[in-house]
Amino acid sequence: MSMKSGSDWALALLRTLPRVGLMNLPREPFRKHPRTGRGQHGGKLHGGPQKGSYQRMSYPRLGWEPRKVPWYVRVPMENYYKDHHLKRQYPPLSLGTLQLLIDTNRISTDEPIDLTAICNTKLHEVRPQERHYGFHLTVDGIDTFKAKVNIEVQWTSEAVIAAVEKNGGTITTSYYDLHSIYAAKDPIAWFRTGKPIPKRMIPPEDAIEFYTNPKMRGYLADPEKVAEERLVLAQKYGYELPKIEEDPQRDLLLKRKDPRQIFYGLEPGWVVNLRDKCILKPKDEALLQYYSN
Amino acid sequence: MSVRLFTRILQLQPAVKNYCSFKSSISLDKLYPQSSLSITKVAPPPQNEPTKFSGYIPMEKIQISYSRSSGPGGQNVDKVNTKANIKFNVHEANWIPEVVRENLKQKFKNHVSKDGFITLQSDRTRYQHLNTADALQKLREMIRSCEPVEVKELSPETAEKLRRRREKASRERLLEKRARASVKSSRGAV
Repeated sequence: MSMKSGSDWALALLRTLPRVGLMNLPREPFRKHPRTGRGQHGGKLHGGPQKGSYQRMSYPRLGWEPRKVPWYVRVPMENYYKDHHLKRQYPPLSLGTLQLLIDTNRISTDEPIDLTAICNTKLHEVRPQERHYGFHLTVDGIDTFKAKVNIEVQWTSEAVIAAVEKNGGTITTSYYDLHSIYAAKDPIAWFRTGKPIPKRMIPPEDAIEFYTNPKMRGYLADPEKVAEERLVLAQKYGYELPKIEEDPQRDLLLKRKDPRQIFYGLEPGWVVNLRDKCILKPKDEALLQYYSN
Repeated sequence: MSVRLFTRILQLQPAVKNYCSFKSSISLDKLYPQSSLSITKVAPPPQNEPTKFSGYIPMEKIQISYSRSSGPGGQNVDKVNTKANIKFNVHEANWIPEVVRENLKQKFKNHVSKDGFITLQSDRTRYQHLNTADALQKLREMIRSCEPVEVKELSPETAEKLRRRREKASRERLLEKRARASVKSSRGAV
């Protein structure tokens, strides 16, 4: 057996050692600059000025402002907004606004209404950079809401669900993580980036109860339980439960996305090429595994 | 059937059709394998028991109308019909159990009209939709208050305890009364 050269040893070592990163680098073996105050010309005053509070180490306390009440005393703390920048937000969209959008033909009721449809009107936007996780359908304008829609929102309340179902429509609450919101709110811009359609993530711990609740028509709830809750709500709010099975628009009203889907008719992982007007689908096993999971 | 005719039939299919039948690992059929996955499956309404009202009100048997609400509120309260009124004939109300219906006629004797109608209103909120729910809640509470109450038999220990409490209360009342009487009688010229 031939003797290993230095480079052979080095290569053998490289094969076993972990990847070089910030956590792996050793400290500098030699001090680059002498410590302050020890050098010939850096001593005595240690680079600072003579006399005064600098030399005597008697600077005023941090935050002190001359001749005025300091900022940290003047401005009060309001704990109600603590961590607000970390919380999920759902900008409101009232039922009255929705009715107006439908009446003025901004939104078509011949297609299911979702986040993309509302954002496409360009009248209402969602800003994921400000932690907007979708729309909150509110109760304002409930008495004049007459449209029959298949709507998918991100947050709502019981009375709103009753109003939508009373008119023969269906409503679902669905969770979109921030990355999916970027795709959903402006699909054309997303497709232009050439990125594949992301797969929607499941809701975080504090939201999972809401989205698995049949009372709130969660997208992860059991549809049989949702059917029971529909009757309960009809009894509570005093209307006859419309028969969807006998409705000519049955297919439209029952159209639902898969929990991982962002767009109707498009699967996660696909790349939509707008210029060549084609869709590129992944073939690699690992990608297919990831996107179908 | 020719290929041409078949493609034409395909083209005439409704515009809305879920061509993409994508199913991920968390699709509803995998989360709920036992479920029928149908939101339109209407369950039969709950049945009434002989002495207990189930809570189910058939909407065709009651009349719901709307009128203007009272109270402050400017133009909105003056113009918008937000008050919900519910009217039903208590003699024809087969959806209420017999015993409960009789109790209802007795207890709310003064509320029943000459023709046998009971009316309920609600103008609690700004919205007609929510006021309807409130009025229906009032109706259910009204019916439930007329359900026959099961009289629980007292155990001898409890009956004895209650008797002793009543006796003590009487004793103390009489003591106070006598004390007051003696105070009053001792008033006057010394």
